Amino acid sequence: MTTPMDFSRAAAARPVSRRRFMYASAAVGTALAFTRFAPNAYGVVAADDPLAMSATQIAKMIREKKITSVETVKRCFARIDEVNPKINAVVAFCRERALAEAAEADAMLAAGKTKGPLHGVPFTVKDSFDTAGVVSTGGTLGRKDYVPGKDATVVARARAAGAILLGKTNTPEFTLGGGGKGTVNLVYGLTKNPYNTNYQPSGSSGGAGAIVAAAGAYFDIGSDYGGSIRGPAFANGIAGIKPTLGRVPRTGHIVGYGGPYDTFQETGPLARRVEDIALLLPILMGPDDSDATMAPVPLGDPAQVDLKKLRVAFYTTNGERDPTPEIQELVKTCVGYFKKLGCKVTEDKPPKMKELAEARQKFNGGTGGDNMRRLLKKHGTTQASPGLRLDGELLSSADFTRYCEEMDAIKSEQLAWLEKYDLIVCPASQRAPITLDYEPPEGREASRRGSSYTSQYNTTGWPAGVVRAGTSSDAPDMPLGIQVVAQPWRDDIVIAAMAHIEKQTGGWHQTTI
Amino acid sequence: MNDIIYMSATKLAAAIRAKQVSALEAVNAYIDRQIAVNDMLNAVVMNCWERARTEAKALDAKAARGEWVGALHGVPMTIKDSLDTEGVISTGATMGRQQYIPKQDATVVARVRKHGAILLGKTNTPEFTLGGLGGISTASNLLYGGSHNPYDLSRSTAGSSGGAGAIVAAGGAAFDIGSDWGGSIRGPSHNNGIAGIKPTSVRVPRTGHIVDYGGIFDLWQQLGPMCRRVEDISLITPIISGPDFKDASCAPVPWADPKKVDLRKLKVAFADDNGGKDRNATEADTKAVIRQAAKWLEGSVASVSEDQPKEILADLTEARRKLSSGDGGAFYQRLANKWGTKNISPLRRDSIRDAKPLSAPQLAEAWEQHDDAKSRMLAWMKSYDVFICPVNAKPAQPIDAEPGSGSGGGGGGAGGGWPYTGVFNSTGWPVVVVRGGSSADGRLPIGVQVVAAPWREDLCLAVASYLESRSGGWRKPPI
Repeated sequence: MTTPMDFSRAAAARPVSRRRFMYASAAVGTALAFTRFAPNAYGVVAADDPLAMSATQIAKMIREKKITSVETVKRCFARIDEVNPKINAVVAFCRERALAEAAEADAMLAAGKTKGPLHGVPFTVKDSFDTAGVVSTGGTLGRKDYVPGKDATVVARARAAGAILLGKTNTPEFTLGGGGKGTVNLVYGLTKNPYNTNYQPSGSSGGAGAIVAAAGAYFDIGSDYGGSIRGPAFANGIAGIKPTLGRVPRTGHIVGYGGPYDTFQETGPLARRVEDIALLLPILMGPDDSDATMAPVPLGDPAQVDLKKLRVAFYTTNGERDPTPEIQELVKTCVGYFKKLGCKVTEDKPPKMKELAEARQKFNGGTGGDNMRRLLKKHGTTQASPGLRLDGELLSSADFTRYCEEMDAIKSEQLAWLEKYDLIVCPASQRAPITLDYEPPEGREASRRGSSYTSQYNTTGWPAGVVRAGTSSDAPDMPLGIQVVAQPWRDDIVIAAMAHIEKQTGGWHQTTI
Repeated sequence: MNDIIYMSATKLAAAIRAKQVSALEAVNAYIDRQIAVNDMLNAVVMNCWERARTEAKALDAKAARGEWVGALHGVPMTIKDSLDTEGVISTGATMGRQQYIPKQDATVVARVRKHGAILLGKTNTPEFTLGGLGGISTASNLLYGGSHNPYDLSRSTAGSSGGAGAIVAAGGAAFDIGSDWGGSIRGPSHNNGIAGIKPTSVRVPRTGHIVDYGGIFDLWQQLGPMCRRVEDISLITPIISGPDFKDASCAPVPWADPKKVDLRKLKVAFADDNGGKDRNATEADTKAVIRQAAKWLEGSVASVSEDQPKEILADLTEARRKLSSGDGGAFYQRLANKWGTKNISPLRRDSIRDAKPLSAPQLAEAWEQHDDAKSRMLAWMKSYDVFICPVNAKPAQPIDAEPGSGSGGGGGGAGGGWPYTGVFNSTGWPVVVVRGGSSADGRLPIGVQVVAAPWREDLCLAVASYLESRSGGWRKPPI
């Protein structure tokens, strides 16, 4: 029935009354008569407020001169100023530069020119990425005043496409030091969930997830070493993708290209709407003359994916740690959306997920925390976050290389399994978002289990996305996301599947703060 | 007959398609040639001639009906013995596999056979492509002994794809497929005066190779064709490229056509010396071949500059050295255990016995240093399209030469200098080797490495092809 997939938001829109704007004048600089944050049934931000729009929509409005970039940037800052005291998501700002760039963008438009598909669109960036001229701490005290001279590759690319940086979003130390508290560090403190400030925004791109969900920025760019894009997408009810390993450069990220754990880490966009993921990924991807893991593999067009032909596998548990019933139910509901299309659906899961997670854990901790200590030293940090793991079972070099081989052997087995399927639908998390006072179980074993639903796909390097697919009963009013995964380099299928789920469920909801 | 055995694989395939030659005639011609030279070379260590004849007849029957199975219909080949070949003993040169008959072809073997190539036999290689026999400086192992160079039987074929290099040069196969972890395709291409490619890391799946996907050295290893003519590399490499759902590193990056490269736009850097001293010093005739290549290019490309990133290459070499011996050879011992080999290659037995392994933190740090140098290499290469340098400091050396002499290829070793081939396994960049000239006495081949940035095999091939047109490339050996 539904072929090829359709990005129109119409079917996805929640049944809110849609006030249409009267764009009295398209002239640059005209103050538009928007009601700021007029309440509606679902929250403070009205559905037809430009703030609630997707990056794709606002980019179009700016291009068509229905709103100026300056106006858009101002509205974002106003929204951030309103919510940030409650959630502590944006931790550094570049207000003047943003406004100057927005004015420049508007002037360019007036002259009939645009910088690119993101012309004039405001965004924030996870603080683990370098941003030229803007303090970039990576959540570590040694860098609390560090101002990079150069943008990280992905930041430079978004800006070159016309996007305007508003500020930086919170992340744990090196993106790895959250210690079960979601997103927290010694530089900027704790970030909270915009749906309920008693809850964690998850991590490590927790600031990104929270501010995008709260409509303070149109998108953010995160990094994902064990679930750090997908966890926050899950907990903040937005869309996020960890692209295939090798697609998006890590240059300028605090944990950059290279070393034994290189293949675990990817960078990717977080946004309220799946269409934005489709817009952003092609802008961010591709080799950059520095990150030597990159491969210039073309990205298929998600709109051309014939969903009904997908061979779908799903699992409600990875066999090691059963998700809560509502999470398992959510998987089944989402699988139903593909069944309805006529997809061949099979309950099946990659072999040896537990063994892979164990090998990864051994390998990951194999230096006994030495790699983390060297990172601290490199950045001049003397006081590490309590959550940063400096332990780990020190291996002999013979065991270190052995665990690497074991991990890769299972990766190969899992890849052979994946030849049978185009899409995996599975939990993104074992349970609903957790509260701030949640006490994480002790030890590496427990922390591994906590992220095993996502980290499985860091180890394999397969593309995996999360999109909001429901609302929790266990954690009232908190979002629940679903994870979809495809074969390596088929990020187009991940995005198409996310869009299909978003269309059925409505995806992102407005926050109530 | 000479015509058939010395044709390029491309031209032979065309001749078969034009029905000027049958597949059976081609197979028989190559078998006859193997019979004539292999006693001297010890390059082909296992054959499947009867199956080859049967397959040739079947392909000829298909051709008679107008059916062509692929681009290599009827073309006879050999395959390095480190690659699994269904139904044909594949030892990987380790004792534990002396009678091992795989049930499945390695991915690359299956792909060329699907295109109609016919397997004649397996070619010699050291244990796991990484071992060797003490005191014998050529492709050698405990199972089959050492191989000999067709241009001078007392000299080395180089390794590890030494059997492949020797038999292709001698006209005993239209092509072979080798593997390259530190120079194992390029060294033998140089010593035996043929053309070979180490494609970009992760372009070609290693499934079915004795050291396959995975582990800490994963990105160093690539498989690629070894042929007499550069055009054959352009034909065969795309056939064997692309993911196979087993090699989890493999990426489906499109293959660019070397014919579309505009030489006049290329910026070329070259270096004729890696800084090796004493016995590792690059010899004058090798330098002269590189300088000649640079000179030929001068009039045909945008610019030619003498330049090399010495410091980065030194850092990369040091990190590579630490990494490759970092676990004290534990990975090698595990391979031996996996295949039930008790008597491992003497060279490796000694190096494992004498190893001083790093700690895991030191190994991790060396890994980071290695990758940091890779990253800096990429930045350096932004200024150029192609880099040209020797494959080794000298042409093929005597088989009974002092161990380590003539290194500067894969190793590094005493005497310093960055290893001409190994650093490009570390970077993962594509490299094509083509014969650029000869030793001062005219007897021994000297190859040229043509290096490009990742995924730009098209640039390597366009330049190698031009150099081949100037130098003449491969020449008939005296045997």
